[in-house]
Amino acid sequence: MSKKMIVLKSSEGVSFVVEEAVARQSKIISFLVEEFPDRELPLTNMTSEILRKTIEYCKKHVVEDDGGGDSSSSSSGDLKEWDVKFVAEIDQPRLMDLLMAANYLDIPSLLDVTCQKVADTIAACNDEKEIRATFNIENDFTEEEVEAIRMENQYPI
Amino acid sequence: MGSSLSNLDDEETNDSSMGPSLGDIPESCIAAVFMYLTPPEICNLAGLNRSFRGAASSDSVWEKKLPPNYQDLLDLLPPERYLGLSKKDIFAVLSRPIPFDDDNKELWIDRVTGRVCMAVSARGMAITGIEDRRYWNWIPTDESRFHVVAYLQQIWWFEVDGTVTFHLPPGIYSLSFRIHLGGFAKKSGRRVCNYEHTHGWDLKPVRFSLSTSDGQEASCEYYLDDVKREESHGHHKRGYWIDYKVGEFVVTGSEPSTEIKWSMKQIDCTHSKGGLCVDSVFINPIGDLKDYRTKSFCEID
Repeated sequence: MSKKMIVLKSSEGVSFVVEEAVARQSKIISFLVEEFPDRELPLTNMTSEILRKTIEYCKKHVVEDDGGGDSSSSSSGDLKEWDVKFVAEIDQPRLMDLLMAANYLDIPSLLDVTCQKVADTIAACNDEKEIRATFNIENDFTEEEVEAIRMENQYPI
Repeated sequence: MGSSLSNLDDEETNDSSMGPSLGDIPESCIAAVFMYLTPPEICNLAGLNRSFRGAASSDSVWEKKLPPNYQDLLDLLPPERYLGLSKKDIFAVLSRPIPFDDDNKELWIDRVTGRVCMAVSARGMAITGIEDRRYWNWIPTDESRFHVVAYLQQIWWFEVDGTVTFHLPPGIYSLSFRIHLGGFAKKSGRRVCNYEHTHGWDLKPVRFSLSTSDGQEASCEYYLDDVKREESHGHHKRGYWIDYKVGEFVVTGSEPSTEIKWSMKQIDCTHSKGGLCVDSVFINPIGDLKDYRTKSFCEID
Protein backbone atom coordinates (compact mmCIF):
# COMPACT_ATOMS: atom_id res chain seq x y z
CA MET A 1 0.00 0.00 0.00
CA SER A 2 1.58 3.24 -1.07
CA LYS A 3 1.30 6.35 1.01
CA LYS A 4 -0.34 9.43 -0.39
CA MET A 5 2.22 11.99 -1.53
CA ILE A 6 1.89 15.70 -2.13
CA VAL A 7 4.15 18.21 -3.84
CA LEU A 8 5.40 21.43 -2.21
CA LYS A 9 7.17 24.03 -4.30
CA SER A 10 9.72 26.47 -2.91
CA SER A 11 10.23 30.12 -3.93
CA GLU A 12 12.96 29.01 -6.35
CA GLY A 13 10.51 26.62 -8.00
CA VAL A 14 12.10 23.47 -6.59
CA SER A 15 9.54 20.70 -6.00
CA PHE A 16 9.59 18.57 -2.86
CA VAL A 17 7.57 15.36 -2.82
CA VAL A 18 6.39 14.71 0.72
CA GLU A 19 4.15 12.15 2.39
CA GLU A 20 0.84 13.79 3.12
CA ALA A 21 1.01 12.79 6.81
CA VAL A 22 4.34 14.61 7.11
CA ALA A 23 3.08 17.79 5.48
CA ARG A 24 -0.16 17.76 7.43
CA GLN A 25 1.67 18.75 10.60
CA SER A 26 1.28 22.20 9.17
CA LYS A 27 -2.28 23.29 9.82
CA ILE A 28 -2.15 25.52 6.75
CA ILE A 29 -1.06 22.67 4.45
CA SER A 30 -3.63 20.40 6.07
CA PHE A 31 -6.27 22.92 5.11
CA LEU A 32 -4.90 23.45 1.60
CA VAL A 33 -4.70 19.70 0.92
CA GLU A 34 -8.36 19.35 1.68
CA GLU A 35 -9.36 22.39 -0.35
CA PHE A 36 -7.14 21.63 -3.35
CA PRO A 37 -6.43 17.87 -3.50
CA ASP A 38 -3.92 16.60 -6.07
CA ARG A 39 -2.50 20.03 -6.61
CA GLU A 40 1.06 21.21 -6.28
CA LEU A 41 1.26 23.69 -3.39
CA PRO A 42 3.44 26.74 -4.12
CA LEU A 43 5.10 28.22 -1.03
CA THR A 44 6.38 31.37 -2.66
CA ASN A 45 7.76 32.85 0.53
CA MET A 46 9.90 29.87 1.53
CA THR A 47 13.33 29.16 0.15
CA SER A 48 14.33 25.60 -0.74
CA GLU A 49 16.74 25.60 2.17
CA ILE A 50 14.13 26.51 4.76
CA LEU A 51 11.49 24.28 3.20
CA ARG A 52 13.97 21.37 3.33
CA LYS A 53 14.65 22.08 7.02
CA THR A 54 10.95 22.33 7.79
CA ILE A 55 10.25 19.03 6.04
CA GLU A 56 13.14 17.41 7.92
CA TYR A 57 11.56 18.51 11.19
CA CYS A 58 8.09 17.31 10.19
CA LYS A 59 9.44 13.93 9.02
CA LYS A 60 11.15 13.32 12.33
CA HIS A 61 8.05 14.23 14.25
CA VAL A 62 5.64 12.22 12.16
CA VAL A 63 7.82 9.11 12.57
CA GLU A 64 7.98 9.54 16.31
CA ASP A 65 4.28 10.32 16.60
CA ASP A 66 3.52 7.22 14.51
CA GLY A 67 5.38 5.03 17.00
CA GLY A 68 2.12 3.16 17.66
CA GLY A 69 1.18 2.26 21.21
CA ASP A 70 4.83 2.49 22.22
CA SER A 71 4.59 5.98 23.60
CA SER A 72 7.29 5.44 26.20
CA SER A 73 8.73 8.48 27.90
CA SER A 74 12.19 7.74 26.56
CA SER A 75 10.98 8.19 22.98
CA SER A 76 9.46 11.59 23.81
CA GLY A 77 12.67 12.41 25.68
CA ASP A 78 14.73 11.43 22.64
CA LEU A 79 12.53 13.62 20.46
CA LYS A 80 13.09 16.58 22.77
CA GLU A 81 16.81 15.98 22.59
CA TRP A 82 16.61 15.79 18.80
CA ASP A 83 14.70 19.11 18.72
CA VAL A 84 17.32 20.83 20.85
CA LYS A 85 20.09 19.58 18.56
CA PHE A 86 18.07 20.51 15.48
CA VAL A 87 17.77 24.19 16.45
CA ALA A 88 21.28 24.34 17.93
CA GLU A 89 22.78 23.50 14.53
CA ILE A 90 21.01 26.33 12.71
CA ASP A 91 22.65 29.73 12.45
CA GLN A 92 20.86 32.88 13.60
CA PRO A 93 19.38 34.21 10.30
CA ARG A 94 18.13 30.78 9.29
CA LEU A 95 16.64 30.25 12.74
CA MET A 96 14.60 33.41 12.13
CA ASP A 97 13.53 32.07 8.73
CA LEU A 98 12.50 28.82 10.32
CA LEU A 99 10.62 30.57 13.11
CA MET A 100 8.70 32.60 10.54
CA ALA A 101 8.06 29.49 8.46
CA ALA A 102 6.65 27.73 11.53
CA ASN A 103 4.49 30.78 12.20
CA TYR A 104 3.35 31.03 8.58
CA LEU A 105 2.67 27.32 8.07
CA ASP A 106 1.22 27.02 11.58
CA ILE A 107 3.34 24.17 12.94
CA PRO A 108 2.95 24.69 16.70
CA SER A 109 5.72 22.35 17.88
CA LEU A 110 8.30 23.83 15.49
CA LEU A 111 7.23 27.33 16.54
CA ASP A 112 7.74 26.28 20.17
CA VAL A 113 11.30 25.01 19.71
CA THR A 114 12.44 27.93 17.56
CA CYS A 115 10.89 30.51 19.92
CA GLN A 116 12.46 28.78 22.92
CA LYS A 117 15.85 28.89 21.24
CA VAL A 118 15.53 32.61 20.38
CA ALA A 119 14.30 33.39 23.91
CA ASP A 120 17.23 31.49 25.44
CA THR A 121 19.66 33.42 23.25
CA ILE A 122 18.07 36.76 24.25
CA ALA A 123 18.12 35.82 27.94
CA ALA A 124 21.81 34.95 27.66
CA CYS A 125 22.68 38.44 26.37
CA ASN A 126 24.03 40.87 28.95
CA ASP A 127 22.48 44.06 27.65
CA GLU A 128 20.54 45.72 24.86
CA LYS A 129 23.72 46.35 22.89
CA GLU A 130 24.55 42.66 22.82
CA ILE A 131 21.00 41.75 21.75
CA ARG A 132 21.18 44.29 18.92
CA ALA A 133 24.49 42.90 17.76
CA THR A 134 23.46 39.25 18.07
CA PHE A 135 20.20 39.66 16.18
CA ASN A 136 21.13 42.57 13.93
CA ILE A 137 18.33 44.84 15.17
CA GLU A 138 18.27 48.46 14.05
CA ASN A 139 16.88 51.15 16.32
CA ASP A 140 13.99 52.65 14.33
CA PHE A 141 12.75 55.05 17.03
CA THR A 142 12.84 58.83 17.05
CA GLU A 143 14.45 60.53 20.05
CA GLU A 144 11.02 61.44 21.47
CA GLU A 145 9.93 57.83 21.25
CA VAL A 146 13.06 56.62 23.02
CA GLU A 147 12.24 58.91 25.94
CA ALA A 148 8.57 57.82 25.95
CA ILE A 149 9.60 54.16 26.03
CA ARG A 150 11.93 54.80 28.92
CA MET A 151 9.05 56.37 30.83
CA GLU A 152 6.52 53.64 30.09
CA ASN A 153 8.84 50.80 31.03
CA GLN A 154 10.53 52.21 34.08
CA TYR A 155 8.03 51.09 36.68
CA PRO A 156 9.29 48.09 38.55
CA ILE A 157 7.80 45.08 36.88
CA MET B 1 6.39 38.89 5.93
CA GLY B 2 6.48 37.39 2.44
CA SER B 3 9.35 39.50 1.22
CA SER B 4 11.58 38.76 4.15
CA LEU B 5 11.01 35.03 3.87
CA SER B 6 12.23 34.74 0.32
CA ASN B 7 15.38 36.78 0.17
CA LEU B 8 17.95 34.04 0.57
CA ASP B 9 19.23 33.82 -2.97
CA ASP B 10 22.67 32.55 -2.28
CA GLU B 11 22.48 29.44 -0.15
CA GLU B 12 26.23 29.18 0.20
CA THR B 13 26.70 32.35 2.16
CA ASN B 14 26.82 32.49 5.92
CA ASP B 15 26.88 36.26 6.05
CA SER B 16 24.63 37.26 8.93
CA SER B 17 23.45 40.31 7.03
CA MET B 18 21.61 37.94 4.72
CA GLY B 19 18.15 36.77 5.59
CA PRO B 20 15.88 38.30 8.17
CA SER B 21 17.25 39.47 11.48
CA LEU B 22 15.17 39.49 14.62
CA GLY B 23 14.57 43.14 13.80
CA ASP B 24 12.63 42.29 10.64
CA ILE B 25 10.34 39.60 11.92
CA PRO B 26 6.69 40.45 12.46
CA GLU B 27 5.20 41.39 15.81
CA SER B 28 3.24 38.14 16.01
CA CYS B 29 6.50 36.15 15.91
CA ILE B 30 8.06 38.35 18.58
CA ALA B 31 4.96 37.81 20.71
CA ALA B 32 5.49 34.05 20.28
CA VAL B 33 9.09 34.42 21.49
CA PHE B 34 7.85 36.43 24.50
CA MET B 35 5.96 33.37 25.72
CA TYR B 36 9.39 32.07 26.76
CA LEU B 37 10.63 35.24 28.45
CA THR B 38 9.84 36.70 31.87
CA PRO B 39 7.95 40.00 32.38
CA PRO B 40 11.10 41.95 33.38
CA GLU B 41 12.90 40.63 30.29
CA ILE B 42 9.98 41.63 28.07
CA CYS B 43 9.91 45.17 29.49
CA ASN B 44 13.62 45.53 28.83
CA LEU B 45 13.15 44.54 25.17
CA ALA B 46 10.51 47.19 24.41
CA GLY B 47 13.24 49.68 23.53
CA LEU B 48 14.75 47.60 20.70
CA ASN B 49 12.46 48.69 17.86
CA ARG B 50 8.84 49.30 16.92
CA SER B 51 7.85 45.63 16.56
CA PHE B 52 9.33 44.80 19.94
CA ARG B 53 7.61 47.76 21.52
CA GLY B 54 4.28 46.69 20.03
CA ALA B 55 4.65 43.10 21.21
CA ALA B 56 5.89 44.19 24.66
CA SER B 57 2.65 46.02 25.35
CA SER B 58 0.27 43.61 23.65
CA ASP B 59 -2.62 42.29 25.71
CA SER B 60 -2.27 38.82 24.20
CA VAL B 61 1.28 38.55 25.60
CA TRP B 62 0.44 39.83 29.08
CA GLU B 63 -2.79 37.86 29.36
CA LYS B 64 -0.61 34.73 29.38
CA LYS B 65 1.70 36.16 32.05
CA LEU B 66 -1.18 36.84 34.43
CA PRO B 67 -2.42 34.04 36.70
CA PRO B 68 -5.65 32.42 35.43
CA ASN B 69 -7.66 33.86 38.33
CA TYR B 70 -6.28 37.41 38.21
CA GLN B 71 -9.83 38.74 38.30
CA ASP B 72 -10.16 37.37 41.87
CA LEU B 73 -7.16 39.50 42.87
CA LEU B 74 -8.58 42.56 41.11
CA ASP B 75 -11.84 42.06 43.01
CA LEU B 76 -9.95 42.99 46.20
CA LEU B 77 -9.21 46.43 44.72
CA PRO B 78 -11.52 49.38 44.08
CA PRO B 79 -12.50 49.21 40.37
CA GLU B 80 -11.04 52.64 39.58
CA ARG B 81 -7.58 51.16 40.24
CA TYR B 82 -7.81 48.79 37.27
CA LEU B 83 -10.69 49.69 34.92
CA GLY B 84 -9.46 50.62 31.47
CA LEU B 85 -5.91 49.46 32.09
CA SER B 86 -4.01 47.33 29.60
CA LYS B 87 -3.10 43.78 30.65
CA LYS B 88 0.48 44.91 31.11
CA ASP B 89 -0.57 47.65 33.52
CA ILE B 90 -2.81 45.18 35.35
CA PHE B 91 0.24 42.96 35.77
CA ALA B 92 2.11 45.92 37.27
CA VAL B 93 -0.79 46.72 39.65
CA LEU B 94 -1.00 43.11 40.83
CA SER B 95 2.73 42.76 41.35
CA ARG B 96 2.40 45.19 44.25
CA PRO B 97 0.91 43.89 47.51
CA ILE B 98 -2.88 43.98 47.78
CA PRO B 99 -4.09 44.10 51.39
CA PHE B 100 -7.26 42.28 52.45
CA ASP B 101 -8.97 40.97 55.63
CA ASP B 102 -8.49 44.22 57.62
CA ASP B 103 -5.08 44.72 56.02
CA ASN B 104 -3.70 41.76 57.96
CA LYS B 105 -3.18 39.72 54.79
CA GLU B 106 -1.56 40.54 51.46
CA LEU B 107 -1.62 38.99 48.02
CA TRP B 108 0.55 39.79 45.04
CA ILE B 109 1.87 38.13 41.91
CA ASP B 110 5.52 37.28 41.55
CA ARG B 111 6.87 39.60 38.87
CA VAL B 112 9.02 36.91 37.29
CA THR B 113 6.76 33.85 37.40
CA GLY B 114 3.35 35.56 37.56
CA ARG B 115 2.34 33.16 40.33
CA VAL B 116 0.24 34.21 43.32
CA CYS B 117 2.02 34.80 46.67
CA MET B 118 0.49 35.52 50.05
CA ALA B 119 1.55 36.82 53.45
CA VAL B 120 -0.46 36.83 56.68
CA SER B 121 0.53 39.08 59.59
CA ALA B 122 0.67 37.81 63.17
CA ARG B 123 -2.09 40.43 63.65
CA GLY B 124 -4.33 38.23 61.54
CA MET B 125 -3.65 35.07 63.58
CA ALA B 126 -4.98 33.67 66.86
CA ILE B 127 -2.21 33.87 69.47
CA THR B 128 -2.85 32.30 72.87
CA GLY B 129 -2.48 34.93 75.61
CA ILE B 130 -2.03 37.84 73.16
CA GLU B 131 -4.32 40.10 75.19
CA ASP B 132 -2.13 39.77 78.32
CA ARG B 133 0.79 42.18 78.18
CA ARG B 134 2.78 40.07 80.67
CA TYR B 135 3.06 37.47 77.85
CA TRP B 136 2.89 39.21 74.47
CA ASN B 137 3.47 42.71 73.12
CA TRP B 138 3.04 44.29 69.71
CA ILE B 139 6.23 45.94 68.50
CA PRO B 140 6.12 48.41 65.59
CA THR B 141 9.02 47.85 63.19
CA ASP B 142 10.01 48.43 59.59
CA GLU B 143 11.51 44.93 59.52
CA SER B 144 8.03 43.51 58.90
CA ARG B 145 6.07 44.09 55.69
CA PHE B 146 3.08 44.63 58.03
CA HIS B 147 5.11 47.09 60.16
CA VAL B 148 4.37 45.24 63.39
CA VAL B 149 5.47 41.96 65.00
CA ALA B 150 4.31 40.04 68.07
CA TYR B 151 6.99 39.79 70.79
CA LEU B 152 6.71 37.00 73.34
CA GLN B 153 8.17 37.84 76.73
CA GLN B 154 7.38 34.59 78.48
CA ILE B 155 4.64 31.94 78.40
CA TRP B 156 3.98 28.29 79.16
CA TRP B 157 1.39 27.57 76.48
CA PHE B 158 2.87 28.78 73.22
CA GLU B 159 0.38 28.55 70.37
CA VAL B 160 -0.16 30.57 67.18
CA ASP B 161 -2.92 29.54 64.76
CA GLY B 162 -4.06 31.01 61.49
CA THR B 163 -6.26 30.42 58.50
CA VAL B 164 -6.90 31.89 55.07
CA THR B 165 -9.36 31.07 52.32
CA PHE B 166 -8.71 32.12 48.75
CA HIS B 167 -9.10 30.90 45.19
CA LEU B 168 -5.42 30.11 44.58
CA PRO B 169 -4.48 29.11 41.03
CA PRO B 170 -3.49 25.45 40.54
CA GLY B 171 0.08 24.73 41.60
CA ILE B 172 2.34 23.66 44.43
CA TYR B 173 2.76 26.01 47.39
CA SER B 174 4.96 26.07 50.44
CA LEU B 175 4.01 27.60 53.79
CA SER B 176 6.52 29.05 56.23
CA PHE B 177 6.63 31.03 59.49
CA ARG B 178 8.92 34.07 59.73
CA ILE B 179 10.38 34.13 63.24
CA HIS B 180 13.11 36.05 65.06
CA LEU B 181 14.76 34.69 68.19
CA GLY B 182 15.46 37.56 70.58
CA GLY B 183 14.23 41.12 70.70
CA PHE B 184 15.68 43.89 68.54
CA ALA B 185 15.81 47.66 68.51
CA LYS B 186 17.51 50.50 66.68
CA LYS B 187 19.97 52.38 68.87
CA SER B 188 21.60 55.46 67.32
CA GLY B 189 21.11 54.00 63.85
CA ARG B 190 22.48 50.56 64.71
CA ARG B 191 20.47 47.39 65.06
CA VAL B 192 20.87 45.87 68.51
CA CYS B 193 19.47 42.52 69.62
CA ASN B 194 18.76 41.44 73.15
CA TYR B 195 18.17 38.00 74.52
CA GLU B 196 17.13 38.88 78.09
CA HIS B 197 13.86 36.93 77.69
CA THR B 198 15.14 34.27 75.31
CA HIS B 199 14.90 30.86 76.92
CA GLY B 200 13.31 27.45 76.65
CA TRP B 201 13.52 26.89 72.88
CA ASP B 202 16.41 24.43 73.12
CA LEU B 203 14.59 22.09 75.54
CA LYS B 204 11.78 20.83 73.31
CA PRO B 205 11.07 21.35 69.61
CA VAL B 206 8.22 23.53 68.39
CA ARG B 207 5.63 21.67 66.34
CA PHE B 208 4.50 23.27 63.07
CA SER B 209 1.56 21.96 61.06
CA LEU B 210 -0.72 22.85 58.19
CA SER B 211 -3.90 21.40 56.73
CA THR B 212 -6.11 22.22 53.77
CA SER B 213 -9.86 22.00 53.22
CA ASP B 214 -9.34 19.10 50.78
CA GLY B 215 -7.59 16.96 53.39
CA GLN B 216 -3.87 17.58 52.86
CA GLU B 217 -1.70 17.70 55.95
CA ALA B 218 1.94 18.37 56.71
CA SER B 219 3.83 18.88 59.93
CA CYS B 220 7.33 19.11 61.30
CA GLU B 221 9.33 20.08 64.35
CA TYR B 222 12.20 22.49 64.83
CA TYR B 223 14.33 23.41 67.81
CA LEU B 224 14.28 27.20 67.59
CA ASP B 225 17.43 27.53 69.72
CA ASP B 226 20.54 25.45 70.24
CA VAL B 227 22.35 26.80 73.27
CA LYS B 228 24.99 24.07 73.66
CA ARG B 229 26.17 24.08 70.09
CA GLU B 230 25.92 27.82 69.77
CA GLU B 231 28.10 28.59 72.74
CA SER B 232 31.04 27.14 70.87
CA HIS B 233 30.09 28.04 67.29
CA GLY B 234 28.37 31.40 67.67
CA HIS B 235 24.64 31.99 67.40
CA HIS B 236 23.18 30.47 64.25
CA LYS B 237 19.57 30.88 65.25
CA ARG B 238 19.55 34.13 67.20
CA GLY B 239 19.33 37.72 66.07
CA TYR B 240 17.94 37.42 62.56
CA TRP B 241 14.75 36.46 60.77
CA ILE B 242 14.40 32.79 59.87
CA ASP B 243 11.76 31.22 57.62
CA TYR B 244 10.67 27.92 59.09
CA LYS B 245 9.11 25.84 56.36
CA VAL B 246 6.03 24.02 57.63
CA GLY B 247 5.30 22.03 54.49
CA GLU B 248 3.85 22.03 51.02
CA PHE B 249 0.38 21.64 49.61
CA VAL B 250 -1.11 21.25 46.17
CA VAL B 251 -3.96 23.21 44.66
CA THR B 252 -5.53 21.19 41.85
CA GLY B 253 -8.14 23.73 40.86
CA SER B 254 -11.01 21.30 41.34
CA GLU B 255 -12.36 23.25 44.33
CA PRO B 256 -13.65 26.82 43.96
CA SER B 257 -11.41 27.96 46.81
CA THR B 258 -8.89 26.49 49.23
CA GLU B 259 -8.92 26.96 52.97
CA ILE B 260 -5.47 26.65 54.53
CA LYS B 261 -4.95 26.33 58.28
CA TRP B 262 -1.63 26.42 60.08
CA SER B 263 -0.33 26.32 63.61
CA MET B 264 2.83 26.57 65.65
CA LYS B 265 2.82 25.01 69.12
CA GLN B 266 5.04 24.31 72.10
CA ILE B 267 2.57 23.39 74.83
CA ASP B 268 4.73 21.38 77.22
CA CYS B 269 3.84 23.30 80.36
CA THR B 270 6.70 21.88 82.44
CA HIS B 271 8.90 24.72 81.21
CA SER B 272 8.37 28.30 80.11
CA LYS B 273 9.74 29.87 76.96
CA GLY B 274 10.09 33.42 75.69
CA GLY B 275 12.11 36.09 73.95
CA LEU B 276 10.87 35.57 70.40
CA CYS B 277 9.19 37.64 67.64
CA VAL B 278 6.53 36.32 65.27
CA ASP B 279 6.14 38.33 62.06
CA SER B 280 4.06 36.47 59.53
CA VAL B 281 3.27 33.37 57.55
CA PHE B 282 4.23 33.23 53.88
CA ILE B 283 2.52 31.10 51.26
CA ASN B 284 4.78 30.90 48.25
CA PRO B 285 4.18 29.21 44.91
CA ILE B 286 7.04 26.79 44.24
CA GLY B 287 5.97 24.91 41.15
CA ASP B 288 3.41 24.00 38.53
CA LEU B 289 1.12 21.05 38.87
CA LYS B 290 3.12 19.18 36.24
CA ASP B 291 6.15 19.33 38.55
CA TYR B 292 4.12 17.52 41.18
CA ARG B 293 5.00 13.86 41.31
CA THR B 294 5.50 12.68 44.86
CA LYS B 295 4.23 14.40 47.92
CA SER B 296 7.18 15.92 49.70
CA PHE B 297 7.37 16.38 53.43
CA CYS B 298 9.31 19.05 55.16
CA GLU B 299 12.67 18.13 56.58
CA ILE B 300 13.32 18.25 60.27
CA ASP B 301 16.09 20.65 61.01
